[in-house]
Amino acid sequence: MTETDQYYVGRCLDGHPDDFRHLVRRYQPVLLAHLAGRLGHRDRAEEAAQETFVRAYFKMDKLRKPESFLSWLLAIADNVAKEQQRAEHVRRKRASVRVFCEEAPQPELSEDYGLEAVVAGLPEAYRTVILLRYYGGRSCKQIAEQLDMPLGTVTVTLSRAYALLRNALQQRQQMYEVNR
Amino acid sequence: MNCAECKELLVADLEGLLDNSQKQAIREHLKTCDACRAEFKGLQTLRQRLVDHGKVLAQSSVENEVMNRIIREQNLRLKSAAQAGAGLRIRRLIMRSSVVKIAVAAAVVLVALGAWSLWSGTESGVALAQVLVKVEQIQAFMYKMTMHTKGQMQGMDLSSIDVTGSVLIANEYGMRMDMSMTNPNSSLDMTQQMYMLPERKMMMVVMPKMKRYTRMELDDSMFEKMRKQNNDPRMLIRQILDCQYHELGKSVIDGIEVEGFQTTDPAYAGSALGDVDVKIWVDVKTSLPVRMDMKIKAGEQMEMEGTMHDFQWDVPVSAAEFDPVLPADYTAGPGDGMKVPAMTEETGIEGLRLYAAFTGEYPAELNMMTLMRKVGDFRDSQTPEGQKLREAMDQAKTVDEKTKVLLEQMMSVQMLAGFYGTLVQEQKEPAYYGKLVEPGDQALVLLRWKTGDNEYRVLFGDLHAETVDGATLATLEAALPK
Repeated sequence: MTETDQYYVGRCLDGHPDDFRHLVRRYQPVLLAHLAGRLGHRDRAEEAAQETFVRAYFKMDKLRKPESFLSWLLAIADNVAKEQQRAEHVRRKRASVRVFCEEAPQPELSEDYGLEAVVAGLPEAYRTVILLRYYGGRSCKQIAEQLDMPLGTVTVTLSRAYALLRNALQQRQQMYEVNR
Repeated sequence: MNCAECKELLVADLEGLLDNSQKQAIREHLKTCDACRAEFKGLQTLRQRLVDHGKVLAQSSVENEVMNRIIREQNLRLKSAAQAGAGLRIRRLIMRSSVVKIAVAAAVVLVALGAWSLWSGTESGVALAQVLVKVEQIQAFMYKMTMHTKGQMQGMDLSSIDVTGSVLIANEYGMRMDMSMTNPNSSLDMTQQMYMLPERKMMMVVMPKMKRYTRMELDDSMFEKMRKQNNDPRMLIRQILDCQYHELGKSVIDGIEVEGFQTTDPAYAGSALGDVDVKIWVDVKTSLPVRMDMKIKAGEQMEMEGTMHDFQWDVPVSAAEFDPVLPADYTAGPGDGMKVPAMTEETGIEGLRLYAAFTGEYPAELNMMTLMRKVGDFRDSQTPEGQKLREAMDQAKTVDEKTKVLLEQMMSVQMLAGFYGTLVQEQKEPAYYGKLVEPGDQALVLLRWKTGDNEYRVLFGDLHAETVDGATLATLEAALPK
């Protein structure tokens, strides 16, 4: 698993579809965290992650910069999430017509939905570093290499991301208490 | 250390990026500062929460489902002809079709040109003189061909490709082939027109289904040669008189009485094709060919079987048939604008150099099919040259650019086969010792050919060239390992 994203993208394009496995393995927790935050539902996040990977695979020949595979993947994930939400919305509307008084089901929260949601809400630069560090299992040094930034910038970004996350988590907590 | 300095370093500390003295300084500060300690605790908790959550998510796996779906969908997409191209357009799939195109086109051209050669040695009822008189009168002719290729190049599936087409050759305009290629097992389904246009010194391939075209500039000398070969079959007849053949006797094809000849002479078509088995059937009355069957085999992996039939002689042609129409929405393919190098000594040396750089050895034989098969492996070569190629591929932005990089690489090696074929065709007594000589060998003869009376050109293992006399050559060749 030491090869770069570019390497595996190249292998896939050379007709070795099985090498896509390495990219899936590398980014599935990242994608799940990202999508769980977007969708608020663990099973749906898994479904969306699958769909994202499959789409990414078949679109790979359109990936202009293989070194930005992750941000490209996350953009596809965002589209998939949006589509799912729209479909879900339609489904609920229809269901609510059929079953007039039944309430829409509450999203099934994953273990730490609050955390996923605030991570998903981070500005992209911070989100990417957090996702790579904690869900992608990368060290700060590896992130610096992958994103082509100085190590110092990675730690500064991480610090800032922590601050934003703590703020957001506090706000959620407060809202939660108010709503109770 | 003050609070601001401390806070700045806390994350780096958590990430284990600080040296001992910095760590020590932070510890000292935290001991005395409640605010920073609280900050540190908060960060630690959040970090732990992220780590735990990351671990939870890492346990769930979509890997197998994703891979299964990809394989299922890939198969579905490949099967459905309407969706052809909807699958991941694998770089090599594209290259594959280009390779096939070039392989088939090259082979067809050689075979088509070679076809004339067989008229030469007829000493039977069909007299050579008669054939020549006939052919001289013919301004244009056409024939149909069907061809089937079987086999595999590393990474490039050539299994079971059917080619059907018609070929039109006119003294005045050049050559035009309309071909369609299909492979029932894959998405390959293409039609193409290939033009050889001596006036424009150009070879052109148009692929209407893909709305693409490729123009390749051919070297002057090459076209001159082609023009001669196309327009004056006597050239070829003289050139390939050496071909050993035997008579197959009389037979009847489509109600026509014919006489057959067969050659398995490896020198056929300039040795460029590998093992050959060619039969030609000539009309006893008109002395013109009626049908030609050929089998070409390169190693165990690749085979080509084809028939040229339905010859029509003296067909009317118009200039328009040799003027390719390119609708505005057609785009240039990856090989467009490439120049096909002249088949000279330099081309030969460059091909050998490149081959050796990628594989660490010289090709065992210099026939087109064997070389083409090997070129497919270059991208996976663990040599610096392979690395360079992969880097060039990475730098190329579009699929077309990538394909072009590969095509350029392949061209050099293919032209090596072309160069050797020319030497054979021109009866320059070439001999090649790739099996015995290693790259870098300064003293051993790798390739030699005759350049004049008692004068030979010799390429050595280190690819330097010398002109020597017959006696020197004999000494050099005696020194080759047995």
